[in-house]
Amino acid sequence: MWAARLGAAATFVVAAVPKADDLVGFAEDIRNYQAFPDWSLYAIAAIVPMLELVGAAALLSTRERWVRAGGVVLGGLTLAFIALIASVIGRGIDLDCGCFGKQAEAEAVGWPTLLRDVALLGAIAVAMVPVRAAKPSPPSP
Amino acid sequence: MALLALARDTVLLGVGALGLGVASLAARLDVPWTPPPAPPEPAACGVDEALAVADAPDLARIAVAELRTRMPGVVIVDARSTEAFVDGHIPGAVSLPAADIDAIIANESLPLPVDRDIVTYCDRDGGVDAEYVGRALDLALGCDRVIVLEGGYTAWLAGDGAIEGALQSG
Repeated sequence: MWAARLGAAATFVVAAVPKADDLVGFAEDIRNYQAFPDWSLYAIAAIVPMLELVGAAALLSTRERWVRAGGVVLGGLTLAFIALIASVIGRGIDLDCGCFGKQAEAEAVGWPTLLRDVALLGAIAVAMVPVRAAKPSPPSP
Repeated sequence: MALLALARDTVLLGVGALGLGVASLAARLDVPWTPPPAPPEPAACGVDEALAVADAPDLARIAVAELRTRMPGVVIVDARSTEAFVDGHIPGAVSLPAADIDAIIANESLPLPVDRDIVTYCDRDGGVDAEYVGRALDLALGCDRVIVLEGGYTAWLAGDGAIEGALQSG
C-alpha cells in the first residue's frame, strides 16, 4: 500500500513541478489538445499542477481520510487525462503530451500514454486501500 | 456518512488546490494574459492566405551543401507536382505536392515523422510551392522545424546531387 502511495505521489509530484514552473508552456500544451476554450487555458494550467501536488501530499498523509480524498482527487484527474488521451487518439491529433511539462524529447500522445495512465489509476486505487484495514479499529475515545 | 466525509475532504483538497492555483497565477503577473496565438486552420488556407500571414516568421533556409551533411537526418519534402516527382527527386524525398497539401493536412494523413526537421523544395529558389508547403507544414506541425532548400531542385542538380526517379542516371 505504501509503495503504491509513494509511487503514485512521486509520479504526480514529478509531473506537477515542471508544469507549475512553466505555466505558459503548459497552457500551450493544453491548447494543442483542442478541447478547451482559450480563456480557460491559463486557469487549467495553474490549477492542474496544484491539484496534483495537493493530491500527492494528501496521499502521503498518515490520516486515512486524507489519503482517500487525495486518491479521489488524483483518480479523478487521471480519469480526465485518460478521457482526453482517448479523445486525442480518436481524433488522430499528433501532439506532445505535456504530461511532465515541456521536455527536450517530446512525448507524443498515444496508446503507451493511455496505458501508463490506466496503470497509474490502478496504483491510486491500491493506494486508497487503508493500511490497517485488516485490524479492528480502536474504540473511539 | 463515510461517503459524505470523503466528498467533504475531496472538496476541501480541491478548494486548497484552487487557492494555490490562483495564488500561482497571481504570483506571475508578468505572464501575458492573452492565450498563446492559435495556429490558423491549415485546411482553410489558400496559397495567397498562407503567404500573406503577415506576422508569420520567414521559414529558415538551408543550402544544398548543408542539406547533404544533414541527410538522412532530415525529412525532405518535394512540393512539386507528382509528375515532376516521378521524373526525378532528391533521394529519400516524400512527395507532398502544393496542390494537394491542404487536403492531406485536412485528412490528418501527413506521412511525416514528428521528431525531425523538414526540408521543403520545389523547382527553383524563391519558388512558391516550397514556401507554401513549408508554411502549411509549419502551421500544421507548429514546431518551427520546417526549412526551405535554397535554389530548390535546380540547385540540387547543379550541385551534382544524385536523384531518384524515372530520369535517374545509371
